[in-house]
Amino acid sequence: MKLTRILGNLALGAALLAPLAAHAQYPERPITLVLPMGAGGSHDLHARGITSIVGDILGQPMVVKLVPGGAGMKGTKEVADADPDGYTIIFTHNGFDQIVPQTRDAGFDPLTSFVSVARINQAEPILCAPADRPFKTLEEFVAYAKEHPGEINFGHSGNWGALHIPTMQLINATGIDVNLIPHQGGGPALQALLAGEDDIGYQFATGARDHVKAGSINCFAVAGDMALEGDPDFAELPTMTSLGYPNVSFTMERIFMAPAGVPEDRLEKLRNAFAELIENKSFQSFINNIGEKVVFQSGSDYEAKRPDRIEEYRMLIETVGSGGN
Amino acid sequence: MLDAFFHGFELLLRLDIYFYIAAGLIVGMFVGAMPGLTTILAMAVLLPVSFKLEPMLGIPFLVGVYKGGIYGGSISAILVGIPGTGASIATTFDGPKLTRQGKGRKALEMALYSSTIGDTISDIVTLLLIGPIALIILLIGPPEVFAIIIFSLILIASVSSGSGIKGGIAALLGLGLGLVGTESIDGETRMTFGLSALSGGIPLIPLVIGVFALPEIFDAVESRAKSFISEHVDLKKTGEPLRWHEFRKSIRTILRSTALGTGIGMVPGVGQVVAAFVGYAAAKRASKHPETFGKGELDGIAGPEAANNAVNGPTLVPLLTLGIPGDNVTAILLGAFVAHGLRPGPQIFNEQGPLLYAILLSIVLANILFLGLGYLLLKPFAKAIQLKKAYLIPVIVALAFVGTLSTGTASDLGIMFVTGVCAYILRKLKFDLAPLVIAFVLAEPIELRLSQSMLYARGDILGYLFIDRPIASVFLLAGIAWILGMIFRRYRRHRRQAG
Repeated sequence: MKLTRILGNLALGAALLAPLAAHAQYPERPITLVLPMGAGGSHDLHARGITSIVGDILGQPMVVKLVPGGAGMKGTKEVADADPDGYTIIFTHNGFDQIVPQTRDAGFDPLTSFVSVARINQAEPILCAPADRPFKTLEEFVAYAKEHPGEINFGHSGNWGALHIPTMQLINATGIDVNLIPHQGGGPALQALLAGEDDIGYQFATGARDHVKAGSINCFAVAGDMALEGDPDFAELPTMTSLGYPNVSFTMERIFMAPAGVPEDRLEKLRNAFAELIENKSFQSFINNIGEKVVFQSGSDYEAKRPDRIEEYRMLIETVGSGGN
Repeated sequence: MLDAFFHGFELLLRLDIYFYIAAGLIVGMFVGAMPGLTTILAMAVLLPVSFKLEPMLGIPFLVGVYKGGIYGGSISAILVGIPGTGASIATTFDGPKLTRQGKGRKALEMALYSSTIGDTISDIVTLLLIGPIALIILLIGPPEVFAIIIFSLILIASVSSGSGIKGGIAALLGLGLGLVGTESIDGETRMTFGLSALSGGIPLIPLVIGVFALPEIFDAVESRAKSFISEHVDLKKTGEPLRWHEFRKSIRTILRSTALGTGIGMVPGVGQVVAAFVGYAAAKRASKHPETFGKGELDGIAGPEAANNAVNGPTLVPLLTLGIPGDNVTAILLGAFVAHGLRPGPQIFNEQGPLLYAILLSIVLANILFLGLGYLLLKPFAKAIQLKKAYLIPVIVALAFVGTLSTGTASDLGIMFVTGVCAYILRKLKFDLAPLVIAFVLAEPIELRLSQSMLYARGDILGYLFIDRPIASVFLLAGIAWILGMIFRRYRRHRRQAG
């Protein structure tokens, strides 16, 4: 007993002295993880699971700070302006990183203000409609929408939200005229589908699954060119590309970013910590339990494709105008 | 179903469940009693704890934090006039005045009993009627939410004290403040005057502390703190418990508020704050002596406290039956479910029936623990305020500042101070500021639901409302009828007085 206590004290002493050993030991204090959204969403849930594990890997706790508002731009701006010392990072998605800053004067440039740490996973929107509607496939829906211009209520998760972008892409690609209904997030959009207030709308697999099983909604297609392989319920769902709409391709990516200018060694340490995280057994079972999957991409790989993405979304924003309403 | 129910009951026959509920309740009460430390934040921080526990322990633990938090918010509302959460704003109308009259302990007890009664009845109703409630919830879309909010506002306004015009001005001010920040549809920022601190909107807690607590402090300074305390606070009597004859008078109010709260709990995105205000308004309206409200009336505690807790049962229904959380609290509970691979939704009653009933029953049983623990902790809380008289004002000042700062950013202090000074001036001009806060809270849902309804109506508003949405039209017509009735009564009274 006594020996362990002495050892413990020695370890504690070493830990206290460590900061003195010149700029060697990052991180030496807790890291703040900003989420530019409110409590209780899927990002919040991911963050609670991730921070409880990645803290052990880094040797310092990671503390979640929720900064919602301004379509995600309040929290994003806060991190853009933060000291690039590696003690403030952000957990966001590609919509807030690459799209919303282009639709308004956000006060920062995503490319020069941020650098990627890791992409944890992604979620593909799937197009669903209440089961009692007369269309059962994407083809039938497009034909029906063309026969009834302006009469279809097409719900989404709020302008420039993750479910709004593939909606605009589909409208662009098919030329249909629909009545767009914004909701505050994917949950309320799902509820409007179940209540039959909306005629069609995107959902993520996790939200739609049980309602498809219960027979209250049907799903037609998944955005992008990748089928949901291995998914117990949606593996057979055709992709938008296979149905002839390759431009309907938005995928929500959950990403960790740091303010640009963070010292190279600290960025490396953060990137390695996340690479280690995705190998962690309890992280994997957590992600599995919440019905998601790990689709990891390293910070440097993700960073390499950001400029092209930003350009692609700039063109999309130009074609659809200021939100389409 | 009955089989699942009884199996669920068997799952409850172990002691550690109650230990975790009790721990959650205690944490919740302390967090809730600290202004600024919101229940939602405490739940989010404690969510990873529930990941490590099995669902039968972790979920009741979080529910305990939630229930305790709402009651904790009422403790600081009653003792120092600073609402710990939005749900306890209406409790500050009478709570602090009761404390100054030496009835702090009575007020705390009244809050505890009405909270637990409201909660228990609403939980049992939810447990028995979960199917029908789920159907009703799907009938309540944007136009219904809009109509119900407007109807609630009319009800609240019809009992507000003082000048109707000034009440209206205060409500308009509140609406304007509520629209600052992020537009609910586009997410565009607006009316921020270039201040990035306002881009997420004016935060509720600093505003509420500014409106309700700061003017009291300024008043105290103005009237010389010393005489303010010795005149207004008789702290010696704070320890007197609630008597049966006092509680009996409020039973009707508690039952009425429970019914109102259970109903409002079915309306998504409105919740506890509105329920508390409506409960207060209804209690005042039904009272034989409405003039005592706002001056230290125990019924004014029972009304909002029973109502805000009665919301708890029905808000669980969309979470459990559809897998859709209606607010932040249920979203965090959803996290606790799914982290264990349990996905609430239409299938869960078939797949996990016994566990689900066990969790629901544990929520009902948590209320009994809540009553016991609340009673035990009531004495130390009431005692805490019996500290030396001269310290009371500094304690309120400190709580106001710490409460505001703990929400996150230093700019919130500025917001609190500016609203505090404005509120002080408005109060000198005899404005009742309750309508301002209600309108502030409801501004965003009103705007969102109205614009969604207009989009659904596609230009044919009357046709949409009266043909497609009968429930919404009933509430709107009832609101108009209520206003006409008030005008008619006033007119008759005038004529009688004249003749």
